[in-house]
Amino acid sequence: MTAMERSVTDPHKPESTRNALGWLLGGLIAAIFFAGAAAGFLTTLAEDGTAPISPVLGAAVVGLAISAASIMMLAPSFSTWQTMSARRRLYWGSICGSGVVGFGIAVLLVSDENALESVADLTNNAPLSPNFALAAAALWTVGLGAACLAYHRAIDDHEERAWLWAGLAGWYAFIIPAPAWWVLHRAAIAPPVDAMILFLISLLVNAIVWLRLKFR
Amino acid sequence: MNNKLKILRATHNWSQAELADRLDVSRQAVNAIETGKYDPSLPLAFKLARLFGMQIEEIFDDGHGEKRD
Repeated sequence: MTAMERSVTDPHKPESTRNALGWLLGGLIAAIFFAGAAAGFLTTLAEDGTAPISPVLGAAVVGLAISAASIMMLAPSFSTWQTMSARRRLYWGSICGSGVVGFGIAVLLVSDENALESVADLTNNAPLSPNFALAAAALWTVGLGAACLAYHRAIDDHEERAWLWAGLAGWYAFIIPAPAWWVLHRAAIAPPVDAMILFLISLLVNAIVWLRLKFR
Repeated sequence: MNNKLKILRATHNWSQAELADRLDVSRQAVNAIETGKYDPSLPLAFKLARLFGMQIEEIFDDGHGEKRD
Protein backbone atom coordinates (compact mmCIF):
# COMPACT_ATOMS: atom_id res chain seq x y z
CA MET A 1 0.00 0.00 0.00
CA THR A 2 1.44 3.35 -0.99
CA ALA A 3 1.55 6.36 1.30
CA MET A 4 -1.11 7.99 -0.86
CA GLU A 5 -3.45 4.98 -0.57
CA ARG A 6 -2.94 4.89 3.19
CA SER A 7 -3.78 8.57 3.52
CA VAL A 8 -7.05 8.02 1.67
CA THR A 9 -8.14 4.81 3.38
CA ASP A 10 -6.85 5.26 6.93
CA PRO A 11 -7.99 8.30 8.86
CA HIS A 12 -5.21 7.82 11.41
CA LYS A 13 -2.22 8.75 9.29
CA PRO A 14 -0.98 12.04 10.70
CA GLU A 15 2.35 11.59 8.90
CA SER A 16 0.72 12.27 5.54
CA THR A 17 -1.22 15.19 7.05
CA ARG A 18 1.97 16.72 8.36
CA ASN A 19 3.74 16.23 5.04
CA ALA A 20 0.92 17.89 3.11
CA LEU A 21 0.75 20.82 5.52
CA GLY A 22 4.53 21.14 5.47
CA TRP A 23 4.60 21.34 1.68
CA LEU A 24 1.69 23.77 1.75
CA LEU A 25 3.58 26.01 4.17
CA GLY A 26 6.67 25.73 1.95
CA GLY A 27 4.57 26.74 -1.06
CA LEU A 28 3.21 29.76 0.84
CA ILE A 29 6.70 30.87 1.88
CA ALA A 30 7.93 30.44 -1.71
CA ALA A 31 4.94 32.44 -2.98
CA ILE A 32 5.69 35.31 -0.57
CA PHE A 33 9.41 35.21 -1.41
CA PHE A 34 8.97 35.25 -5.18
CA ALA A 35 6.16 37.83 -4.96
CA GLY A 36 8.56 40.07 -3.04
CA ALA A 37 11.31 39.45 -5.59
CA ALA A 38 8.92 40.28 -8.44
CA ALA A 39 7.82 43.48 -6.67
CA GLY A 40 11.45 44.52 -6.19
CA PHE A 41 12.37 43.79 -9.80
CA LEU A 42 9.33 45.63 -11.18
CA THR A 43 9.95 48.58 -8.86
CA THR A 44 13.43 48.89 -10.34
CA LEU A 45 11.97 48.78 -13.87
CA ALA A 46 9.29 51.32 -12.87
CA GLU A 47 11.97 53.77 -11.79
CA ASP A 48 13.33 53.57 -15.36
CA GLY A 49 9.79 53.79 -16.77
CA THR A 50 10.05 50.37 -18.45
CA ALA A 51 7.86 48.26 -16.14
CA PRO A 52 5.22 46.36 -18.16
CA ILE A 53 2.88 46.17 -15.13
CA SER A 54 2.77 47.79 -11.69
CA PRO A 55 4.91 46.17 -8.96
CA VAL A 56 1.81 45.41 -6.88
CA LEU A 57 0.05 43.68 -9.76
CA GLY A 58 3.23 41.76 -10.62
CA ALA A 59 3.69 40.61 -7.02
CA ALA A 60 0.05 39.56 -6.82
CA VAL A 61 0.25 37.60 -10.11
CA VAL A 62 3.48 35.80 -9.13
CA GLY A 63 2.25 35.08 -5.60
CA LEU A 64 -1.10 33.73 -6.77
CA ALA A 65 0.53 31.67 -9.55
CA ILE A 66 2.93 29.94 -7.15
CA SER A 67 0.16 29.42 -4.60
CA ALA A 68 -2.08 27.89 -7.28
CA ALA A 69 0.75 25.64 -8.51
CA SER A 70 1.42 24.46 -4.94
CA ILE A 71 -2.24 23.65 -4.39
CA MET A 72 -2.49 21.75 -7.69
CA MET A 73 0.65 19.73 -6.88
CA LEU A 74 -0.68 18.89 -3.45
CA ALA A 75 -4.25 18.22 -4.51
CA PRO A 76 -4.00 14.41 -4.04
CA SER A 77 -2.86 14.94 -0.44
CA PHE A 78 -5.85 17.09 0.35
CA SER A 79 -7.89 13.96 1.04
CA THR A 80 -6.33 14.33 4.49
CA TRP A 81 -8.31 17.55 4.91
CA GLN A 82 -11.55 15.56 4.63
CA THR A 83 -10.31 12.99 7.15
CA MET A 84 -9.30 15.68 9.66
CA SER A 85 -11.62 16.30 12.57
CA ALA A 86 -13.71 19.48 12.58
CA ARG A 87 -11.51 20.80 15.38
CA ARG A 88 -8.31 20.36 13.35
CA ARG A 89 -9.86 21.90 10.26
CA LEU A 90 -10.87 24.94 12.32
CA TYR A 91 -7.39 25.00 13.91
CA TRP A 92 -5.49 25.02 10.63
CA GLY A 93 -8.08 27.27 8.98
CA SER A 94 -7.63 29.89 11.69
CA ILE A 95 -3.84 29.74 11.36
CA CYS A 96 -4.12 30.14 7.57
CA GLY A 97 -6.54 33.04 8.22
CA SER A 98 -3.91 34.75 10.40
CA GLY A 99 -1.41 34.23 7.58
CA VAL A 100 -3.80 35.88 5.13
CA VAL A 101 -4.11 38.89 7.48
CA GLY A 102 -0.31 39.19 7.63
CA PHE A 103 -0.06 38.79 3.86
CA GLY A 104 -2.77 41.45 3.41
CA ILE A 105 -0.86 43.94 5.55
CA ALA A 106 2.33 43.15 3.61
CA VAL A 107 0.52 43.79 0.31
CA LEU A 108 -0.80 47.10 1.70
CA LEU A 109 2.71 48.01 2.73
CA VAL A 110 4.10 47.31 -0.73
CA SER A 111 1.21 48.94 -2.58
CA ASP A 112 1.27 52.20 -0.57
CA GLU A 113 4.47 53.94 -1.56
CA ASN A 114 3.84 56.63 1.05
CA ALA A 115 3.32 54.16 3.88
CA LEU A 116 6.88 53.69 5.11
CA GLU A 117 10.43 54.25 4.02
CA SER A 118 11.47 50.84 5.30
CA VAL A 119 9.82 47.84 6.95
CA ALA A 120 11.76 48.61 10.14
CA ASP A 121 9.68 51.76 10.45
CA LEU A 122 6.74 49.56 11.44
CA THR A 123 8.24 49.19 14.93
CA ASN A 124 9.05 52.85 15.61
CA ASN A 125 6.99 56.02 15.69
CA ALA A 126 7.62 57.08 12.07
CA PRO A 127 4.55 58.74 10.49
CA LEU A 128 2.24 56.56 8.42
CA SER A 129 -0.09 57.46 5.59
CA PRO A 130 -3.75 57.56 6.74
CA ASN A 131 -4.79 55.05 4.06
CA PHE A 132 -2.25 52.45 5.16
CA ALA A 133 -2.93 53.07 8.86
CA LEU A 134 -6.71 52.73 8.52
CA ALA A 135 -6.52 49.62 6.34
CA ALA A 136 -3.85 47.92 8.47
CA ALA A 137 -5.69 48.71 11.72
CA ALA A 138 -8.97 47.36 10.29
CA LEU A 139 -7.28 44.17 9.04
CA TRP A 140 -5.45 43.69 12.33
CA THR A 141 -8.47 44.14 14.58
CA VAL A 142 -11.22 42.51 12.53
CA GLY A 143 -9.18 39.89 10.65
CA LEU A 144 -6.88 38.82 13.44
CA GLY A 145 -9.70 39.10 15.98
CA ALA A 146 -11.85 36.67 13.99
CA ALA A 147 -8.92 34.30 13.40
CA CYS A 148 -8.07 34.33 17.13
CA LEU A 149 -11.67 33.60 18.05
CA ALA A 150 -11.69 30.57 15.74
CA TYR A 151 -8.22 29.47 16.87
CA HIS A 152 -9.07 29.50 20.58
CA ARG A 153 -12.24 27.51 19.92
CA ALA A 154 -10.13 24.89 18.15
CA ILE A 155 -7.11 24.37 20.42
CA ASP A 156 -6.87 21.36 22.72
CA ASP A 157 -6.56 21.42 26.54
CA HIS A 158 -2.78 21.28 26.48
CA GLU A 159 -2.41 24.29 24.18
CA GLU A 160 -5.12 26.19 26.06
CA ARG A 161 -3.13 25.75 29.28
CA ALA A 162 0.04 26.94 27.51
CA TRP A 163 -1.82 30.07 26.34
CA LEU A 164 -3.28 30.78 29.78
CA TRP A 165 0.17 30.80 31.39
CA ALA A 166 1.76 32.60 28.44
CA GLY A 167 -0.97 35.25 28.53
CA LEU A 168 -0.48 35.76 32.26
CA ALA A 169 3.30 35.99 31.87
CA GLY A 170 2.90 38.47 29.01
CA TRP A 171 0.51 40.54 31.17
CA TYR A 172 3.00 40.65 34.06
CA ALA A 173 5.76 41.56 31.60
CA PHE A 174 3.68 44.67 30.87
CA ILE A 175 2.25 45.71 34.25
CA ILE A 176 5.48 45.31 36.22
CA PRO A 177 7.87 47.42 34.09
CA ALA A 178 5.33 49.99 32.81
CA PRO A 179 4.58 51.83 36.10
CA ALA A 180 8.22 51.54 37.19
CA TRP A 181 9.39 53.12 33.93
CA TRP A 182 6.68 55.82 34.22
CA VAL A 183 7.67 56.94 37.73
CA LEU A 184 11.37 56.84 36.80
CA HIS A 185 10.62 59.10 33.84
CA ARG A 186 8.68 61.53 36.05
CA ALA A 187 11.77 61.81 38.23
CA ALA A 188 13.86 62.49 35.10
CA ILE A 189 15.81 59.27 35.67
CA ALA A 190 14.57 57.44 32.55
CA PRO A 191 13.48 58.49 29.03
CA PRO A 192 9.73 58.76 28.27
CA VAL A 193 7.77 55.49 28.33
CA ASP A 194 7.86 53.82 24.93
CA ALA A 195 4.72 51.75 24.41
CA MET A 196 6.26 49.82 21.52
CA ILE A 197 9.14 48.56 23.69
CA LEU A 198 6.68 47.42 26.37
CA PHE A 199 4.53 45.78 23.70
CA LEU A 200 7.53 43.89 22.28
CA ILE A 201 8.69 42.77 25.75
CA SER A 202 5.20 41.50 26.54
CA LEU A 203 5.02 39.75 23.16
CA LEU A 204 8.44 38.15 23.64
CA VAL A 205 7.68 36.84 27.13
CA ASN A 206 4.32 35.54 25.91
CA ALA A 207 5.99 33.70 23.01
CA ILE A 208 8.77 32.21 25.14
CA VAL A 209 6.36 30.83 27.75
CA TRP A 210 3.97 29.48 25.12
CA LEU A 211 6.77 27.76 23.17
CA ARG A 212 8.18 26.30 26.39
CA LEU A 213 4.86 24.87 27.55
CA LYS A 214 3.71 23.71 24.13
CA PHE A 215 6.89 22.04 22.87
CA ARG A 216 8.98 21.08 25.92
CA MET B 1 1.09 12.46 38.21
CA ASN B 2 2.20 9.00 37.09
CA ASN B 3 0.38 7.26 34.27
CA LYS B 4 0.51 4.15 32.09
CA LEU B 5 -0.21 5.92 28.84
CA LYS B 6 3.11 5.06 27.19
CA ILE B 7 2.70 1.36 28.02
CA LEU B 8 -0.91 1.31 26.85
CA ARG B 9 0.05 3.05 23.63
CA ALA B 10 2.85 0.54 23.06
CA THR B 11 0.50 -2.42 23.55
CA HIS B 12 -1.69 -1.04 20.77
CA ASN B 13 1.39 -0.36 18.63
CA TRP B 14 0.34 3.25 18.11
CA SER B 15 2.65 6.19 17.59
CA GLN B 16 2.10 9.35 19.63
CA ALA B 17 0.67 10.98 16.52
CA GLU B 18 -1.78 8.11 15.95
CA LEU B 19 -2.99 8.26 19.56
CA ALA B 20 -3.28 12.05 19.28
CA ASP B 21 -5.42 11.58 16.17
CA ARG B 22 -7.74 9.17 17.99
CA LEU B 23 -8.08 11.58 20.91
CA ASP B 24 -8.36 14.62 18.62
CA VAL B 25 -5.53 16.43 20.40
CA SER B 26 -2.04 17.45 19.30
CA ARG B 27 0.93 15.07 19.40
CA GLN B 28 2.58 17.47 21.85
CA ALA B 29 -0.34 16.96 24.24
CA VAL B 30 0.15 13.16 24.20
CA ASN B 31 3.89 13.57 24.72
CA ALA B 32 3.37 15.99 27.62
CA ILE B 33 0.93 13.61 29.34
CA GLU B 34 3.25 10.60 28.85
CA THR B 35 6.23 12.43 30.32
CA GLY B 36 4.20 13.74 33.26
CA LYS B 37 4.64 17.38 32.29
CA TYR B 38 0.93 17.92 31.84
CA ASP B 39 -2.08 16.46 33.64
CA PRO B 40 -5.03 16.14 31.25
CA SER B 41 -8.39 17.75 31.96
CA LEU B 42 -11.15 15.51 33.28
CA PRO B 43 -12.93 15.28 29.88
CA LEU B 44 -9.66 14.22 28.21
CA ALA B 45 -8.93 11.71 30.99
CA PHE B 46 -12.40 10.18 30.42
CA LYS B 47 -11.75 10.08 26.69
CA LEU B 48 -8.47 8.24 27.29
CA ALA B 49 -10.13 5.79 29.66
CA ARG B 50 -12.89 5.05 27.15
CA LEU B 51 -10.38 4.59 24.33
CA PHE B 52 -8.47 1.95 26.29
CA GLY B 53 -11.58 0.46 27.95
CA MET B 54 -10.29 1.16 31.46
CA GLN B 55 -11.10 3.23 34.53
CA ILE B 56 -9.33 6.59 34.89
CA GLU B 57 -7.59 5.46 38.07
CA GLU B 58 -6.25 2.40 36.24
CA ILE B 59 -4.37 4.75 33.90
CA PHE B 60 -3.47 7.61 36.25
CA ASP B 61 -1.98 7.45 39.73
CA ASP B 62 -1.58 10.54 41.90
CA GLY B 63 0.46 8.59 44.47
CA HIS B 64 -2.19 9.06 47.16
CA GLY B 65 -4.42 6.14 46.37
CA GLU B 66 -6.03 4.42 49.37
CA LYS B 67 -6.99 0.80 49.45
CA ARG B 68 -10.69 0.31 50.21
CA ASP B 69 -11.81 -2.23 52.78
